[in-house]
Amino acid sequence: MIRGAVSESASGLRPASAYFVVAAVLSVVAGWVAWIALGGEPWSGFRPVREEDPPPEYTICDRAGRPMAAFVQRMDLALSPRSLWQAHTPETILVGLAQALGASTSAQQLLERMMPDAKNGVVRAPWKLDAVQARALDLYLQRGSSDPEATPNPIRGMWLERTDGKAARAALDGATFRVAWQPTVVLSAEVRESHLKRQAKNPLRWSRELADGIALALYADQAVRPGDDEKLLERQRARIWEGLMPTRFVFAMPDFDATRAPEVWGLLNDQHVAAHQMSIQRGRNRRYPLGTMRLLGGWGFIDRSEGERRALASFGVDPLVIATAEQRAGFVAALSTGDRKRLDTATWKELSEPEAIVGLELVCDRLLRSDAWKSLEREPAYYEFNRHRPIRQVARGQGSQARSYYLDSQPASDTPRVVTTIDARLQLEVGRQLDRVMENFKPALTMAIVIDVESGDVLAVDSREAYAFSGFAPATHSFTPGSTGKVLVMATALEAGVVRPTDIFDVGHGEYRVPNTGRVIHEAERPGRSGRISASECLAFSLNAGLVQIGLRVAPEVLRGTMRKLHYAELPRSGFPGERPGMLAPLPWKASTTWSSVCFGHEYMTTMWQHAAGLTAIVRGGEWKPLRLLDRVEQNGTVWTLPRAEGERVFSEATCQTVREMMMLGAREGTGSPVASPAKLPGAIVGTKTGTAQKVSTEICLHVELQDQANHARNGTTCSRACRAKLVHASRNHRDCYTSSIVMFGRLPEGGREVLVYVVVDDRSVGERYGSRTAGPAAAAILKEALGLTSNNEPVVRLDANGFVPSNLPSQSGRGLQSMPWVKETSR
Amino acid sequence: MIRAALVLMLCGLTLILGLLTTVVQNGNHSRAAELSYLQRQWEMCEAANAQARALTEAHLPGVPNMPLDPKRQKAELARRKGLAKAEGVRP
Repeated sequence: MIRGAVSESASGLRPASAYFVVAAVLSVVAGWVAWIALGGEPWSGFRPVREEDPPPEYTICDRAGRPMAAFVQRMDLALSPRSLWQAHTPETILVGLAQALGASTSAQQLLERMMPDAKNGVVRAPWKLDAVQARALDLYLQRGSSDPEATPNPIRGMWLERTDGKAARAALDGATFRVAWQPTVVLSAEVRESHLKRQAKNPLRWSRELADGIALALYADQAVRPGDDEKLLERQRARIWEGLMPTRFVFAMPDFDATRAPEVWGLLNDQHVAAHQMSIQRGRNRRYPLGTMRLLGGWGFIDRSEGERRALASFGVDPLVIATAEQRAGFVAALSTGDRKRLDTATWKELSEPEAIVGLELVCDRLLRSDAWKSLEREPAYYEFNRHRPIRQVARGQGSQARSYYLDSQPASDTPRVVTTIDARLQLEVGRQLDRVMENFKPALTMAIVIDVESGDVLAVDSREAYAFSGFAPATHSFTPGSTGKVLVMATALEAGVVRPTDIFDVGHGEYRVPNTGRVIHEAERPGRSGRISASECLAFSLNAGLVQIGLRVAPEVLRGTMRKLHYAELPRSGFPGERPGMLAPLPWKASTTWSSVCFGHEYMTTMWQHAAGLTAIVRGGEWKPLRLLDRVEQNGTVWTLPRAEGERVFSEATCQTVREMMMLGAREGTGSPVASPAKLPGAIVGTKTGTAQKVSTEICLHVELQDQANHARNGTTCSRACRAKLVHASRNHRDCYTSSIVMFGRLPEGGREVLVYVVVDDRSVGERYGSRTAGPAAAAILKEALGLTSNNEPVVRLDANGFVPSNLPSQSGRGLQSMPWVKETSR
Repeated sequence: MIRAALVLMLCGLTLILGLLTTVVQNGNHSRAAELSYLQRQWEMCEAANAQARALTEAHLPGVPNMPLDPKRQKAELARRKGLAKAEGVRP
């Protein structure tokens, strides 16, 4: 019987078969384990978490590859005061953090940031307690326990206050009370250990006991007691802590020193700080290592209206239907609740991500978002991990400490680098010179551009404005060029063969009557020559009378045609948003008005970008090329050079050489001599043309105009035609509104690049108005820097014939330390 | 006898397999936790490196580096201007 029972189981299987079944199951398990151990798909019993950075954007570099704008990671120390201080001792965390963060932040400063509810270290709970509740709570605080039999052990650092501010012993009729407490005292190890019999080192246990004690005092019979429903008890504790520590989330240390992050991270691990209590959060910042510049523009967030417009467009709504804010509001009002929710989500998505909004940032952004650059790698970095709370920790009462298990990660693809034509050193010098112009002359706006004459590469360009100004002024601000425009007229006349440099003109003595018209033309600057002078001198000394006589020899069609060939009155296609085409009056031109005005640079408008390109074409030898700002794109060691435009011949080389010589005469003896004469600018071959254009009565002084624009921008309004008419007659005297400018080209006698510098100072308020005096010094300083005669505005020391340097080197003075940035200022 | 041997073998195998699984799993967890820690540290070092790299690559000989933070940049510029005025040195 026994044998039979053993040989056949109740299921009917013979034992041997059962062994085979068990062996098969074991084999499957063994195979599975082996597969996991030897590199199969990782088994995961938990849901993986994936943290993904935004895709890499682009870095903007100068011509030498120095980053001018780049994204860098940032570290923020984020915490929930309510969660953190329930589970951790303030002193331990604050002292540890202060040590981890280094000398930059003290424990006291950290306390203020990490307990934002505390004023002078005291938090006042927002409860209003009646006299009964107050008495019960006071009893609890005095006794230190909810047990009436317990030996009194007052809770230090927590007390009751009257909400009316009266003394505690004043009449109690209708009085209400509130709880005030010092978290650093109440939650200290000393107070905790004096009250807890068991688990005295567990802050979470103390914070729970405290919450339970306060709840019993406040809610009396309705309070949930320990041992009752656990969920209700937890909810009650949460409610009490909501009052004791109202702030749920705060960035205690936004963008803290990243070199300190590993130490902070170590502290958080050592102290078992859970992610929801305090964590280091990663973000990114657009940073400008060489300083912020108007040229670079910036990144920012779009407003809600634009976000909504884009969200609607992404749903395929006809742009014409939602063109204005009113139309959009109407459209949204007609949407169903579900659609509105979807729209809201899409709008918030648009609003949450920063984007390039102005300047070179936007130029680069548009370039790389075009179809031609879709092939660039834009893989974001990601990190995948399991967040797991081990059972044994929960059992030991360390349930809040979750552990992370690495699963997978991938670094971001190489950040594309947009290399510009900008020379960073020169760009900084331009910025400094413009700052000086702003300081010395207080203009409404000033701007400068430096161009490599041969290639048309923009080496530096920047602007400064006295008022809030939208857009990048060199591409968006139109102005009357004044006498710098005479260069174009002279070149056109020479090219047309209607004048020779030696031709003599009678320019009178500061006044000239245009033949057969009643128009009298005055000189803007004190004429350096008068009477009968040559055509060369007319340009060099910037005589309106001479240039009008020369210009009137050229047919208006030819003059205008040449200016059109130089791309005046059309969008300069610089890439900057909001660029303006300028203005050139349509034909016919009358000698009494436009024709003669154009001869001395009036009655047409241009942007700095256009005018600089036109002037460079003449200095270059007659070939017009668009100015070039972006040179190449690089990624993973591959370089894509952006194409250069073919030159368009406008003037002959001989014509341009003649004009150059006239401008060199201007620098030597003419209007440019105060800043560019051989005595002032030794060691360089220089040509200049100055400009001092008075605003005519129909123009608005720029200070008035920009101030008005800034006001409108602030109020969200625009200036109507009537408003503009009012501005024309605004208080400032037109006789004192000038656009002063200078164009200066130069090179070293021994060769090297030739550069053109153009500086415009619009509507200066103080100081001299002449181009040579306002814009001239800045242009000369920039030219010297561009030619390498100075470095950081310090004279460059040249070796003598024997290869020695003079003994009075600047580096022997304290200034030399500037070339050693690691030397601290204090050591100077 | 054979049956007993088979039982013993299966028991032994089960135990060994269980132990091996525990060892492998424990190793996996330890390494994954360690890797996670290292990953976080690496991210932080990367952030610090990226900031230092931006400053280093942007350095212009003769020009003291600017801080990356725009607020500190403003303060630094003001300080340099003040220094320039006081000492007659350019900013």
